[in-house]
Amino acid sequence: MKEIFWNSIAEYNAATWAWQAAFMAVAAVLTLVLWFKPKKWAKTGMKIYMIAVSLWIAFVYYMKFGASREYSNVMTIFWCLMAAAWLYDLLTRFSTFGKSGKYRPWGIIMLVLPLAYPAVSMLRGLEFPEITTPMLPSAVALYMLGMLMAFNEKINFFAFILILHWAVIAMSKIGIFNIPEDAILAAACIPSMVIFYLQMLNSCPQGLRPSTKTVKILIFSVAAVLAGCMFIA
Amino acid sequence: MASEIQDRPVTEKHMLEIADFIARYLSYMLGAGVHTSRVVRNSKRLGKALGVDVSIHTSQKTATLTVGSEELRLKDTRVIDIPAFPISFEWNADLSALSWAAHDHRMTLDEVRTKFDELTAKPGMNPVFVLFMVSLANASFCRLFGGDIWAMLVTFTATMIGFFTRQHLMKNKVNHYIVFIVSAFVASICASSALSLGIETAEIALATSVLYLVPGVPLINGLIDITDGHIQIGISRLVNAFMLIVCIAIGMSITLMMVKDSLL
Amino acid sequence: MIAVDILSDGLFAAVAAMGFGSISSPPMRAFPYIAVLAAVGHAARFCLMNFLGVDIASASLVAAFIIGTGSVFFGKKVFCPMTVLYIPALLPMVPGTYAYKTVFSLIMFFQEISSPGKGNEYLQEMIYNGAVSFSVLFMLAVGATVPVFLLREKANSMTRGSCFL
Repeated sequence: MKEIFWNSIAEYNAATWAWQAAFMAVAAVLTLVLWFKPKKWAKTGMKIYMIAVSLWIAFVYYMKFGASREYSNVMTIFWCLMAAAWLYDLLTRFSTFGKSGKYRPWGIIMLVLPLAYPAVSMLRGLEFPEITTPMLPSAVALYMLGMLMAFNEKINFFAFILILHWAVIAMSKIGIFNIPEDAILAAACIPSMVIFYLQMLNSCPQGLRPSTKTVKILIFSVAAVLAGCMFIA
Repeated sequence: MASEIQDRPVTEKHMLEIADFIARYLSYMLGAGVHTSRVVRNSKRLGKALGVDVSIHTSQKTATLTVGSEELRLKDTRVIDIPAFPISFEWNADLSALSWAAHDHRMTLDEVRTKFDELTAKPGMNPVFVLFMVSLANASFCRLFGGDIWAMLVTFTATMIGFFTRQHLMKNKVNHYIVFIVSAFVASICASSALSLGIETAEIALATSVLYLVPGVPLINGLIDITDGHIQIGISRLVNAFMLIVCIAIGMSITLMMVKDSLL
Repeated sequence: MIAVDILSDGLFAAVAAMGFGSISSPPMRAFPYIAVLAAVGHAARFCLMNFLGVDIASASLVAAFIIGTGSVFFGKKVFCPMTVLYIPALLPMVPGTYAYKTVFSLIMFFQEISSPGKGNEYLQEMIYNGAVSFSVLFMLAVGATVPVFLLREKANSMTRGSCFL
């Protein structure tokens, strides 16, 4: 099972490295444009890019190269759902990709983290093409998370919770497939969960039951329990 | 008690005002999902406290109310639309208490009305709190059905996305059948990604992921109504709840159709 | 070990009850009592089913009766109508897996409709699961309502003199 997994990754990398590089270049350009000159076309472009990259993972990674693995069709469906979340966002202008100023350093760290995937792999002594790249599902999810964190004025919550879900799935695979790189995603997800929900809480109208303080305590404790469960189990 | 109450003079205009108020009280309680016999009992109690007789006929979307006064030899009948509020146990408790307070402290109509407005204007639950509680609840539900820690985690996040979808669609006033189908689909498809963790886990996660949608309150309310003898509205409520369950089943069967080959 | 099982069963049932209850926004003061009732009821059903070998419908009836009776006493304390306390407490006992299996076998029945042997099997499974889920649900509602009939007056004046108005 482990061999099949890593073989499919190797095949994927060997066959599509040019495409992967192209995707990463587009992502870099769009990120920089959004960062320095937040234009409307860049925001729309970013959302379209997100849809494209989700569909890429769904159909190219899972359907074509992951076909030899078990249940790859389920993963295809899941990434289509991710694409649907971004499509919904694009159509209804749900999120703004506006800067809010807060937590930007976190965003930068998370945007750089996908690049850490190959680095970690190399440190573990793996060699190309049998290596994790920034265009693997978890790294893509991490990049999306970084974008949400960096431009968190009003975020796409659907995509965020899907990423959180992906982090759980990815964590469960660490033991099975020997891919410790995925722990990065989970580690990034827990603090961002706290941050995003606190933000959502602040935008709620005042005076709701129960008091804001209770909800904050709940959020923190749930995050702690979640982290505990994921890393111990 | 009865003689005490009847010494309060009731004029025709006053009686109509009382009828207006009781109509509102009634529609709020029925709309918030209180079982029928309690609504009838409370409204009669309130009417008695204000010096009128009240009779009620209820159905799923409308109610008929007759307010009468022996002294004036007058009857006022009206048909009320029942607004679709979200189910609120808080209103249930508070409005019941209000009827007792009106009865025991002999409050006037104005006092009762002010209190009523105050109680119904109370803010609701914090959506973030509900989101977290429901996800936690579904995760522990998964445990009760024998899921392991990974099944619980998957159910937690799957429920979170499903319930967030539900909240979002409800806020945008989408038809609630569609809301149920879509959120059941979303939650179950997320849970089905647990298939990579093994069949056993995935099946439990899939089965529990949609259970937060089960309309438990209307189901139990319907059965209570039937045992109380309000059989018509009891059956309406059950049918209503059954429709929602069918919607959940539709949403989930879309998922099952998609991943069925993997489940076998 | 048995004690741990029972306790964890009660604990998870309590969390589930509070969570599902919070969808229908009960008053904040009711939460602790909902948790206690759900934990006691579910743990009772767990014990009946696992240690005394009672079937699921009868065990649910007993558990629901315990929850209903408990809600009479707690309801007086927090001035909540009984239904506010016992409906959320009953929610963790709603037979979810059976309902799921009913739907699943229905779908499988249609998938296998052309091969009579397998189709029959799924149809049988569907009826079996459907019967269990319906009777458990019915037993839950009846069991919790019985105390209301036994204690008419007390059960109907629960919110009288409420200090939370």
